[in-house]
Amino acid sequence: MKNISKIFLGTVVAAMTLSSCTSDLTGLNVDPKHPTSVPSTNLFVRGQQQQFYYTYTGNVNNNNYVYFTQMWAETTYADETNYDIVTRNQPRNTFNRYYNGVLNNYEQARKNLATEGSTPNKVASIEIAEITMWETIVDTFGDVPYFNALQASTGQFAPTYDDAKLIYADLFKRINAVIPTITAGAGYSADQVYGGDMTKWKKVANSIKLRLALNLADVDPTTSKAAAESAIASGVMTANTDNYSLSFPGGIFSNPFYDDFVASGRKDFVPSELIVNLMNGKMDPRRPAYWTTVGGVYKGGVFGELNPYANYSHYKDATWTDATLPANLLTYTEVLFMRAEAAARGYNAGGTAATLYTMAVTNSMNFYGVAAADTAIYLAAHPYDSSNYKKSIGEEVYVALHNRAFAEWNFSRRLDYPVFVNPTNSRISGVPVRLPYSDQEYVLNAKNVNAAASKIGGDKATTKLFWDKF
Amino acid sequence: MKKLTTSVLAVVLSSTFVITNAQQKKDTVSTTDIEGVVVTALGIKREKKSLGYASQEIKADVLSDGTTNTGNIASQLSGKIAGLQVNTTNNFGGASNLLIRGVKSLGGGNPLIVIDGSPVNNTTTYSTYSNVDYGNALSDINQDDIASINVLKGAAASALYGERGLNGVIVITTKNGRGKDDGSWGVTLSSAIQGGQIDKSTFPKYQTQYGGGYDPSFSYTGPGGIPYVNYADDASWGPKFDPNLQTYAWDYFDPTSPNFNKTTPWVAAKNGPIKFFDTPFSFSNSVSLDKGTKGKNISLSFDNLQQNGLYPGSKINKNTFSTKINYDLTDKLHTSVFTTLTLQNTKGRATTNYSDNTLSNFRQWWPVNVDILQQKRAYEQSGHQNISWNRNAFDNGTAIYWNNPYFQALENQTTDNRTRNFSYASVTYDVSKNISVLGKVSYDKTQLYAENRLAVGAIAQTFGQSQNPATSGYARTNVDSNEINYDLLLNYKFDVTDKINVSGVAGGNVRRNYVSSIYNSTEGGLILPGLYALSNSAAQTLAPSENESTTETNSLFATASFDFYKLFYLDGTYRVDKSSTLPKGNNVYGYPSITGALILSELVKPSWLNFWKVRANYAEVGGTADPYKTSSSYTSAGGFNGTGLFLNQTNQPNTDLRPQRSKEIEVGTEIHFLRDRITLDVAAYRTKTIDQIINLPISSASGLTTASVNAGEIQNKGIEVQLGLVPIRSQNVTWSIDANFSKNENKVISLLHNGVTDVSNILLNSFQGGVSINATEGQAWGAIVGQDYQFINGQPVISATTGRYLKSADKHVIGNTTPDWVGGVRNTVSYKGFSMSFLIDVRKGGDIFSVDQYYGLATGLYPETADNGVREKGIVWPGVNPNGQVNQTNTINPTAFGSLDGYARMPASRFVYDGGYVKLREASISWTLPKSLISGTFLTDAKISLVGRNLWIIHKNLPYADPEAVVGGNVANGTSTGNAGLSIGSLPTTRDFGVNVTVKF
Repeated sequence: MKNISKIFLGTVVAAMTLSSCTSDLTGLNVDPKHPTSVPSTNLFVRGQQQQFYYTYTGNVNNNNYVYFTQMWAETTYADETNYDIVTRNQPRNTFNRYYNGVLNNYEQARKNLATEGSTPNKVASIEIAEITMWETIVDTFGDVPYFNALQASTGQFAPTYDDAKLIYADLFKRINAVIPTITAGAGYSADQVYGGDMTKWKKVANSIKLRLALNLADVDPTTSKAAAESAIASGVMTANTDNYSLSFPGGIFSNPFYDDFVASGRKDFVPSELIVNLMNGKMDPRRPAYWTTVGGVYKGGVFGELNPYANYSHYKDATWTDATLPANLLTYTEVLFMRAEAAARGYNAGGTAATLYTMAVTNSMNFYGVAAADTAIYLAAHPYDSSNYKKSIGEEVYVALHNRAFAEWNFSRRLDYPVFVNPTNSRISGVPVRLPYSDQEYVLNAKNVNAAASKIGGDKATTKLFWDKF
Repeated sequence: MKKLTTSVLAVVLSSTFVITNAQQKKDTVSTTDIEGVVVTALGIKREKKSLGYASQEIKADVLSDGTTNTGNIASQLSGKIAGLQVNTTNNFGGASNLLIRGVKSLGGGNPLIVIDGSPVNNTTTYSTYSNVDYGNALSDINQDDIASINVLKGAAASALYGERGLNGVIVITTKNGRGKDDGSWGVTLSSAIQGGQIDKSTFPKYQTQYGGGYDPSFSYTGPGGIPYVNYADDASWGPKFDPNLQTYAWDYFDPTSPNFNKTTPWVAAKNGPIKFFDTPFSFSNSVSLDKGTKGKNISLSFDNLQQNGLYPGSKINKNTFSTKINYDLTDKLHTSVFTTLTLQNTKGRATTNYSDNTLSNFRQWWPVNVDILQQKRAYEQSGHQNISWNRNAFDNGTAIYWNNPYFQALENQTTDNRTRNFSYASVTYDVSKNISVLGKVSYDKTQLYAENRLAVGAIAQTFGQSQNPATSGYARTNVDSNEINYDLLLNYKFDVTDKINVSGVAGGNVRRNYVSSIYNSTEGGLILPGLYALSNSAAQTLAPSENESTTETNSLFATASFDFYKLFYLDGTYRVDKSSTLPKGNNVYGYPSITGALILSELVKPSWLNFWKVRANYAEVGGTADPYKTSSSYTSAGGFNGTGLFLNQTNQPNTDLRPQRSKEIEVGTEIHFLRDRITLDVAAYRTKTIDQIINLPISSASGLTTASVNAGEIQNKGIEVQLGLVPIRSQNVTWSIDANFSKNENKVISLLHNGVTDVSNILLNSFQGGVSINATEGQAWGAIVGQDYQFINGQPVISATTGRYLKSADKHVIGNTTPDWVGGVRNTVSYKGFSMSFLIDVRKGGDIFSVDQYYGLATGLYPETADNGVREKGIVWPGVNPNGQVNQTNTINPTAFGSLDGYARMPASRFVYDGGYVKLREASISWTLPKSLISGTFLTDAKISLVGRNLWIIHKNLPYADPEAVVGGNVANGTSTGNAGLSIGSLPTTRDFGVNVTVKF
């Protein structure tokens, strides 16, 4: 028995030795191939690439702004033009990209920057970039998670939804706070929009403030006027070189229109009748830059119907679908139109509505390479109409901001021009004025999204945002 | 004959199955030897009657003799084990997944596979880049090497595997060499040939009245006022067929076509997509050599399997070499070595899922005027060009949305080769008659080299690392994985008194797993056609994507088994694991089990009762985390104007992870009546799994989309019944019936509730149409959530103005993927040398969302979209109007695409089907040549069998597809590789027939 005990003991000791030959096993749990943290500059640029790509895209799986503003007609698969925003989970994809793809990268960049030795200008760049994204989100969905958002690291996995009005107020506050922090010198040298030029970041901050301010025009004129005037006074964009614009290098990272029109090999889209006929009616000299002709004329597809590709005008490659074309989210042209609208509404916009309208149209014409003489003819034929500023500005914005669907959507919801008609085969009861909440929120954040849905009056594409009074 | 090793014990061991060997000796079974020896956890051999938990063993013949060789033993377990659910995809060489006693973990999981006591890899590989199913690794094991499979179902049975025992264990025992009685070599040769035929109930039936288009008109008219076919339209919602109407069809422009420059009448195709498929054949040949006696034996085997699948050009060539040597160096020193090497080359695994899957093309987006054999001819005669029916336009022959199906199959072909080696060596020293010490090393290595191709001329497809669209390209992956186990075990056995004895083991294990993979692809297409190399990339490639992990678990364990008077057995086990993937402080944990068995037939002995046992147990098992869940990790996404980008972070790491835990109580009984004419084994269990380690999907408004957490409590309770009947047992005739039934009730009790986090639903997977699979508190795992109809008094509501169903405003639970119960019944009749058997396999319930129907009912593929003039007249859908009156309104505008049925107008619940089935899974007839016939020849045994598999789907509810054929085939894992509850673009099921010949000399 003694012998046996020894063997028993010996085996156990040997087994224990065997099983503890790596003393600290957790050392194995360090990934040898991937970093656990990356510099803030890389995160910031990733956020920019994601923001510009996914806000600007017209892909049927994403934000669908181009269909909400009836810019494109579809050739074969007329689902999105009939407002099927269920099949392809567009709200989900949009929501996830904006929060996870854009904001989370900005937010993580901000955190990492703090440990890298932060500079006020880098902080300000991140803050302004984030604000521009928030404006898009709140003007897309309405009430959204905001104050408790982006805090996964503290276990806030299902943040509450906040009142869009309060988000607006906070965005104003943040813009007002960030501008004075900007100092002389550069921000991020890798900044893909302005190359770290902080004077331009300041202009985009004021310009986004102007956009927010104008949106409040019908629902809160006092705040709207004060904010718009302070933004203009503080300095909005003054040239096309100020545009909030990101250039794609091509290759793996190409312009989203290139991916959908060219690289995909598909022929899904033609310009819609609405834009083409509007421009035909005004003999608009920008048409050759925009489209090809078919049978010598510019012809748009019927929105919501099937439109055999060969029968219609197509988008011009050099203007829209080249791989390296920039994506513009906020431009000098838009700022001029916003100022024209502000003036028309009686705000002090640094000029009369008519002057600013002329400047806006002229700037757009120049942008698309129209000869000065043709611009003059056009403006003479289609001057600012103070008797119906909403139509006058609304229709010119629709043309000038073509394919910048999100920016245009703010105007068309505010001015109610041009008039969009719900197609015959539409799947919903009206033209979308907001994007419904992500379907995943109903399984991942049910309590909060349900509360938000009932508060805003139903989670429908036809539920108006709080500022969209008319 | 090796395959027919006569073992009376085997018959009753499993209670469920009777071997098909007709050469059984007379019924000599008596109570004392009624229960045999089975291999349990860690390779420990135990008398089955002493076990206090449920396990079910099947012998090789039951595994393989009644069916065609599927090349994957996992699929051949279907319908044979109570409590085991098997789900086999129809993908060529695809996965067959196993689930024991229901889904225990929110993230799913597979049973541990153990061969001769050593764990082996059974990873299911599914590429999310290319949507290709690379199957499960158990298919590397040659069925001819297997002597038996014992399924350890419950926690008590698998507790000795600690953190790996959570999902049950499948214990495989390999054959030992057993030569002829005179000590010379025994040789066994087996050959099988089999072929398959499509079961038409699993493939679309097409309507034949309307051709290609999204509108009942031709979009363009050509010379002579003759219309061009709507080439760019991949739907059958086009103009009505009219044999008197001439058209310019796609082959009008094809110089190789007999119809070149000839208009053709507007009629339905003569040859539909079903003729696209090849006839699958399979040839297997094996030879095995055996020699020796107990203590000194050797077995060598070689097996070659060649298969081609339904998909043109698909082919598997698999060679397996195995050797097992048992050699006693001295009376006390025993050694054992086993090694098996599998070399497999596969080509033509088809793309699964939605995009660029030819089967999605056939099931969702097909113009029924296209003759598939004309596409074949065009592909072949054009020198393998992509001459597709789906032209851009009459003046542009480039394919727009779909390639020519043959071009897709044969030019965009995937290939892969796998090398698998599993080996072990063990030494046992008998210190005394009471004590022995075992040392063992096992090594399991798998190398996979997989290549994807996109030939020049293809339509743009999402491809490669960037997942940007490309019109040609090449991608390759190399995966290298291995597992090493070092075991040291001390076995003991003592008699405490004459009638009481104790036995058990104590020991330790070190396990190290290593996985390394590297992946890269071309970007922006290929420079030179036909050269599939990374250097042939048109644009700058991204840096290769590398992944590497090493994990280790160190364990100590001890067991004690007491035997009291052969009447009562009491077992206790304990294991401690220390894991590398959990944070320090949380990574050492123990797993106990206690079981008891009482042999009541020792106490009461009526003549009709020959065995009766009751048993009960309690055990805890668990699971550790995957590597790197405790920290973030960034993956490069390439450079953007000189700045390196990283893919978006999605997961919130957790530095406080704990092991997950499963606690199970099980009771059961086993009764044999009437000299084993009736055997019954019943088990009931309740399992609670807590602290599950999951990647919890979270609201992206939190910034991230998943979080690593310990969360969730899932309860599984269920009952398993095995019933064996032998209605006839005489000298020459035996008829036995073996049935098994298992019902598992799964319920998600609670998820995650603490101060900051409040989660009562977990998203497991999302599909198109806003449909998702969820684990929802209070419901079974796998709730399908989506838009439903609106109801008044249980009647669906239809708009009185449009005649269309009204959709619910909110999302509802519209189904559940978890089956109600599964079962199987096998009948075996033998008469002298003849034997016949068949197996019916049943799954009741388990819902499926059909994307094929979601789109196909809109695109007008199926007869119900055309019959009775519904496109002109509309349909009066059954239901009520909002005022409660029975609906009498016709659907308005029925002619417009998508108006009548399908995704655009119907709620998602329209496309949810009961996934239950009843299948004639296996059938066989075999004849073992009588000794009298072969005596005097060199043969010692000879047998010929006719076998069949999946011969008849007796019942199913899912139209035009096999409910079993889900995308990745993983019944449990809804997150990454599995698509439980999703039917989309699956291959049809084949009825397989085969002839097997085995001779031994």
